[in-house]
This record gives sequence, C-alpha cells and structure tokens, in this order.
Amino acid sequence: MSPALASPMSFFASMQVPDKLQKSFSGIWVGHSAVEKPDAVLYYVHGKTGQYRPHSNGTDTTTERRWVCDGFIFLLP
Amino acid sequence: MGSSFFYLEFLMTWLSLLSASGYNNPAIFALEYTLAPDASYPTQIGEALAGYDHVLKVAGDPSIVCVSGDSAGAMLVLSLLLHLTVDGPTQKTPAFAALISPWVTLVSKRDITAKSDYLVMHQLRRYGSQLAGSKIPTNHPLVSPGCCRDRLWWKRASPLKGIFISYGENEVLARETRELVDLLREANVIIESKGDPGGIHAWPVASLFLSSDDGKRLDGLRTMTQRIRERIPTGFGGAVKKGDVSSD
Repeated sequence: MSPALASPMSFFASMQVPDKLQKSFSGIWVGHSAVEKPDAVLYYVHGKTGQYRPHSNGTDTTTERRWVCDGFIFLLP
Repeated sequence: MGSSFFYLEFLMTWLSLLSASGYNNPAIFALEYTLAPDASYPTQIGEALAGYDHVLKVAGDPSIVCVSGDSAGAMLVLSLLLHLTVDGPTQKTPAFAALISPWVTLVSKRDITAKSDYLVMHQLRRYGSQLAGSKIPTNHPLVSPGCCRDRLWWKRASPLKGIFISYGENEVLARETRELVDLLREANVIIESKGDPGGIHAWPVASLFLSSDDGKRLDGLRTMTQRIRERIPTGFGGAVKKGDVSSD
C-alpha cells in the first residue's frame, strides 16, 4: 500500500474519480424477442444515440418489438 | 480478449443455458470497451459505467441484473462495483456478480508464472501499466480492485445476492483471487468461489472452444448459470418497449 493510501482520510482524498466519465459506449445485445422470432436476435447498440440496429442486415425491424425479459446480464468480456 | 464478437458463440450458448434453466426471456449485453494501449483509465471504466446505466434503463430494476466478466472484464466489474459506491451506498447496485478468473490486481508480486497457464507475468505487468496509464497509479483501488483493503467499501459495493468467482487453481492469478475471496469473507460479503483443480485462466470460456465433448465444453457455463439461477429468481418479465431503452 502506498503512503497516500495509509489512512482512510488520505485514502479518500487520493481518489481520482474524473468529473465527467465517458458517456459513450458500444456493445451487443444477445437476447430473445418476446413477440417475434423465438430464436435469439442480435443487435448493435450505440450509447450516444440509443438506436437499435439489427447487426445482420442493417434493417431496423425493431419498432414494434417488445422486450419481456426476466434476467439481464451485463457482461464485460 | 475485449471483443464482444469474439465471444458470440459463448454468449449464445450462455443464453441457451439461461433459457433452459427457467428464465422466460433472458438477455445479455456485452460491452465492447476500448482496449489498452489505445486508451487508459478512466476510458474503460467510463464505458463500463455508461453501458451499465444503459442496461439498468432497459431492465428497469437492478435486482434482475447480474454483472459478469472474465479476466480483465471481471476486473472491470469489480472496479465498476467500487466506482458505483465510491461516495457511499447506491440504489444502482446489481443483484449478483458472476466472475471468471478476475484479474484482481494489475501488478502483483503474488502472481507467479505457472507452467500450465497461458498467461505470462511480464506481459501482464506491461498490460497493467498500459491500462492504468498516467492518470492513476497501478495500485489504486479504482483501477486495481485487489488493492482495495477497505472492508466497509467492499461491503457496500457488493451486490445484494453476493459474488461468485470461478477460477483455475493452477492459473497465474490464483493467489490474488484467493486473497480477495478471503478479504470479502472478512468484510461479510456473500462470496462463493470455485477453484478448479488443475484449471487454467478463464477455462469456462476457453473450454467452450477447446474441449472434446459437450459435457466438458459446457461445464463452466453450466456452473455460472446455476449460480445465477440460485440468486436471481425467474418470472419478473417486465415489458420494455424499444422506445423506452434509448440511452443518453
């Protein structure tokens, strides 16, 4: 442990949490559609816009899709 | 590996196992975070926090969210939990964390080269330094969660249903992992660990591609799925419209 982390007060004083953490991100959803195909569907999602785009063919077919999920996993590979 | 797309078969297999375990309609979000040395702290944790917020918006309730990861991803999960609670308790804590071979401490003298493991110590140290970058020391708890010895912080950072850690007894990171498990127990965190005898780094992931039969290929993922099923009940099923899930 470094000297700066030796006591609780100095420990918290040493925190370097940035004021503005990055807001953008990207990733993929892997999940089941409740109302359409029973098989798995894959989307690409971009955090800045929040738009869903099917990864496979680029056509947005998700307008009427409903997600009914009872478990979520946020995976960091 | 860092890429969600590399993990696609793993993700699809896991999804199938979750469905078979009783979840009506599980969903997995895999973050595509920026790798070092293309970027250093706080880029990766910033992306993880933003991605986690997105998942919470979709899920609507952190009590049905499990956070998971392997290796550096599992380390980022631990950092995420610490970041969420750096200023005190939060309502955003997920229900459960299921981790595979977490890279607990970026640079550690306790990591030893193991003949059977594919991780190499000097490369780990180089990657650790690149990941921390110049804005934070490599032994800072927010980038190297194994350096957090504050039991109260771990207690409030811990998911309500606890943490499960799977690791290989023969992997380079085994000592640090066992040390963290001991610390979490002392902090009264609900913690379960499973060390696979003779196992190497991230074997539940690697075995899916390398094992010779389905039983061995799926063994690690079945364990992860079982633990999640024990901690997060099925049957919530809150409907979420596409329009409800836009982020930022």
